[in-house]
Amino acid sequence: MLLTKNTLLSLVLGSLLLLALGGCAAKNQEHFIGKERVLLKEHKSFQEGKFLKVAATFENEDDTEVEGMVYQIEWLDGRGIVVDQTPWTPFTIIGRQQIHVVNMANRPDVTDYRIVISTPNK
Amino acid sequence: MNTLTKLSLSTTLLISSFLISGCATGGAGMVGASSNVKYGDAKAAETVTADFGSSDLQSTAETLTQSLLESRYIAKAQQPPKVRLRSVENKTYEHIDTKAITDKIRIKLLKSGQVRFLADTANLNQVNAERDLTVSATTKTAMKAMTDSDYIITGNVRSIKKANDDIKDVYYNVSLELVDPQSGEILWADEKEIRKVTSKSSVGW
Repeated sequence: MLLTKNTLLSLVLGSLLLLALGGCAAKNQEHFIGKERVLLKEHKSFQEGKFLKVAATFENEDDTEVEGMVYQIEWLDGRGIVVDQTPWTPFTIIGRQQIHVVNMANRPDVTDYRIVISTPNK
Repeated sequence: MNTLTKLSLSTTLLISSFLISGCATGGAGMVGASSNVKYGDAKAAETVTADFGSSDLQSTAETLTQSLLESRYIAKAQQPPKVRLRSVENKTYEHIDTKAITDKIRIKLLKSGQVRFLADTANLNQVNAERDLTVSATTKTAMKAMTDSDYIITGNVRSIKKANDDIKDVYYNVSLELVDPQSGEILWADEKEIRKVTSKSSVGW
């Protein structure tokens, strides 16, 4: 009985730890320069043949404000070194709009990514 | 004595000002650090004018390379196919160096390791001259036959411009095709669309 309790407790603790770690990893993959005026709602990666593909969704939570900004994806290799970057891509997002972007690394050694969003001073 | 002290003080000030100004004009490894010329981010989004610019070149190359790498003729190939770049025609009213677009795509594709490239038609004269030189320098060298290309890449750049007193709208369309030179079949085609709006009233930014 005690063993079952302990196993259950360790399982719960383990999953909590995993969740926390997962949260940290997702946060490290986002970097804002300037004010966070747009929401990076979700982003995920998957393997497309030999290359890593990233899909991200931006959302402007404001009703009326039009936001213009640029984003860039930094491609990291297995050692965590930035080996390539996309050009800064500009986009304008009106109130309540969602924008979906998909990017693919051009190098097979890319294993991770970081999305950098830069907002100009208003 | 007093005059001497004043003189030495002013000399010291003069020398220090020279030294300070000397330091300000450049640090180690820098020339003209105080000038108006600054190095910027080469990948920055450039919106100086609505003409086809560096950002458009970079985003076009990025998008079309990704699309080409995803196509089954490249992604599912048993061996990296041999590709020759043909010219991309500029059908806009402005001067666009279309070779810059194809060169950038070629660099990206070569780095991916999924494609092999043959010399461009523009560079073939240089390659042939080198082959002739090798043959005349040493007759012992057996000349290899030139390789045929599996695919060729061609394309077009088009633009539509509209303007009134307040707004200037420019639309660019860069399209590329992957063609099998034996059959003439177009195997892959994709495009990159760019819209740029110059407005007198400030919207957004």
